Amino acid sequence: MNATAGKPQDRALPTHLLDLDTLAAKDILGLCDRAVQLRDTGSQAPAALQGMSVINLFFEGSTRTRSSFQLATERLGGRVLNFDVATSSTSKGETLLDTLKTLAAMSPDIFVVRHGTSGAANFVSQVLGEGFGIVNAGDGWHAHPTQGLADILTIREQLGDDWAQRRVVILGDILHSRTARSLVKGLSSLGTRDIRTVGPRTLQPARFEGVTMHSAVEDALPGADVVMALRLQRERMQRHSIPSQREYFELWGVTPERLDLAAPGAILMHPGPIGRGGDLASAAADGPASRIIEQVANGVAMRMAVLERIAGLLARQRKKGG
Amino acid sequence: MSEQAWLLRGGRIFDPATDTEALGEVLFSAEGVLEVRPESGGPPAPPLPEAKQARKGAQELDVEGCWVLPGLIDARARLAAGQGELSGEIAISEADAALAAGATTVLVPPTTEAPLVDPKAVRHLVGEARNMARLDIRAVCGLLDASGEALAELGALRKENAIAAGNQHFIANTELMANAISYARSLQLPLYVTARDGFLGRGVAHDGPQATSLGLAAIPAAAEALEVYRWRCLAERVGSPLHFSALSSAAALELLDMLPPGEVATSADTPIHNLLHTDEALAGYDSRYHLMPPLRGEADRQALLGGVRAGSLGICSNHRPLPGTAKALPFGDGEPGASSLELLLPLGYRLVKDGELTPMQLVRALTLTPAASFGLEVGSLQPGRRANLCLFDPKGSTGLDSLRSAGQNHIETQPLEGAVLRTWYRGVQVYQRDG
Repeated sequence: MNATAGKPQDRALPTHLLDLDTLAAKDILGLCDRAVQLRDTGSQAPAALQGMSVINLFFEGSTRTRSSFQLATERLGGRVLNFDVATSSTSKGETLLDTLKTLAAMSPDIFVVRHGTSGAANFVSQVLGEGFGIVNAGDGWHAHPTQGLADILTIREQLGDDWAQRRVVILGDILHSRTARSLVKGLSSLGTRDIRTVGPRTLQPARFEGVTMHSAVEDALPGADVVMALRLQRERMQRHSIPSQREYFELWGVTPERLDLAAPGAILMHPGPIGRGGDLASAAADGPASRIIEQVANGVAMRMAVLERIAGLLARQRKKGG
Repeated sequence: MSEQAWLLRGGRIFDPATDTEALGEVLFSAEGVLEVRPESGGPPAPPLPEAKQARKGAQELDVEGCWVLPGLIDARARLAAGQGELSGEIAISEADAALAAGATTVLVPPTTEAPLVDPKAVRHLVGEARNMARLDIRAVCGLLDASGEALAELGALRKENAIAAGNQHFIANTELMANAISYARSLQLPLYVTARDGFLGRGVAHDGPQATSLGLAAIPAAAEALEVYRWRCLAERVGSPLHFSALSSAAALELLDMLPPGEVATSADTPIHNLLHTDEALAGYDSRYHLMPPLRGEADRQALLGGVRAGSLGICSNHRPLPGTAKALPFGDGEPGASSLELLLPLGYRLVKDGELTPMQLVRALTLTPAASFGLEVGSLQPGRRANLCLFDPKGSTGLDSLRSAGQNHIETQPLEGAVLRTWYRGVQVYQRDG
């Protein structure tokens, strides 16, 4: 284990899924294929995690993602330990480093980590090293790779594999969104060139490579076949990013009328939890274009595919004596 | 104190004050620099009368292949860590590191952790330095008291020999800021500014593609430029000399260029690492490069190099020694800063080897330019000047295993080309490299 964290590993380890930066298109699509198989087998899933334990190490509250990983682990025959920071020694002042060392000493197989600081998953990867599987369940604003993969699966199922022709719009607080960053990285790897973001400038990065940024919904939506709405976080109003939820909804909220600007057959997505009357109108969330429910099912399936893949790599690694 | 004189022969002499770069001899003692004799061409200045006598008993040193330059003046280095900083401690390790760096004058800045507004702390710092009698350590005291809402007792702090007064943090209240500047002016204390807006400057990385990709809270160059303008504006009103410590952006430099020269003497420096690296180094969340001010883009780095080449920008170490635990956290949660003092010359030499600076440009930026920023009579090898010198071997190597600094946060992982061999302070050898 590397106790002097600070220097990154020289290569991204295949047993660590920290982001979608280096995942090749064939790997992304391979995981999508596998996720579909696993989703459709129901209770007949292979016991890929039999005898293995997964620690859900969540420093940020998240019932949805944690439940999703828990279900995925259990369906594959694995055991889950939920490490809830609020009641743990970490909140009593134990450092993140010491928490990791303590948990690692219990010899779990895979860590699923969610943390409020960008780069936390990379830090965990540097500290724990090769002997463990690591899945980034969301680190600050940086990445949420399993969500990105699940969203790509949803898009693929609805619109097929012509990634170069996809026109994707991401709406809302891009600046603070790990979901947006992962989706953009994944789509770019697949060859999608027309990716647009739209929202107030206060919630967009100064520049975003590979993405066309807009302030007006009317400029961004025409021709889009995927509309991804992001959650508006309440604290943005305290931080002077937008004046009020009312005005945000007025200018950027997804409504059926705005969806009509997009291409025929366009789908509406949202990583959840949705803010009705803030991010989007109920009529849109519940309307025919919405694939929000499918995203949830795909989330569990994709997490199964990822955990299965990592478990397999770990098993091979151990056989080799690594 | 020994009256031993020294005669260094065959070295390449650098005196930025006279623009001398020549092979030759330098003779000096506790009296000061006595004579500079280039091998060809006349001496740049006449020797002191004592030179002839001193030569007779001088210890001769063959320094062929080496650079002989004035002792470095580092205008920004923190010389302790943790609680020690607050009470004006100087860690012996850091003073040793300064001498191993070839630095004979070091300025300690006021910071939020150690504001240097308690006269006892400043007295302690200056007193300790005096006791060590091996280098000049000067305190830049804070402008505001510990509450941040009232003026510091600059009179008392000046009495303790503070060299300048600076902002230990962002001052939002412009009236208070203007008063602090006026008050410092009335006490003839020049200003030493850390230019970073307190709101826009709250991030952890430069507002560029890396921050976007890594999801890091960003600090735009505007955070620095805004402060440069605010301080310049208010300093102009009262004619206060002004030094901008550790600038990082092209925007700040362009603004300084654009402002009319005015009555106010303005100087600035940049940290060595901002000349060597850009925010590309942050890839993979490498927290060694979590620095403040942040590493910015290539255009910024080039602008800073341009300033150094033009002789208008000094180079500081921005040294901050930290224990290993300080960065054993996800990137933004750890402490910013690098242990850099000891490696200042070899790091600067890298810029020379890469063709980005000439040797004289490097030497000037580390000696005469910072000295002139604070009206210090050092940074030159002219006869009559204080004999603070440094001997640098470009063919040597500085390893990382035997560094004197207690900081465990130096960026470099491989030995560096070039090594400081000896340092003299007021004519006395205070450092000699082992081996």
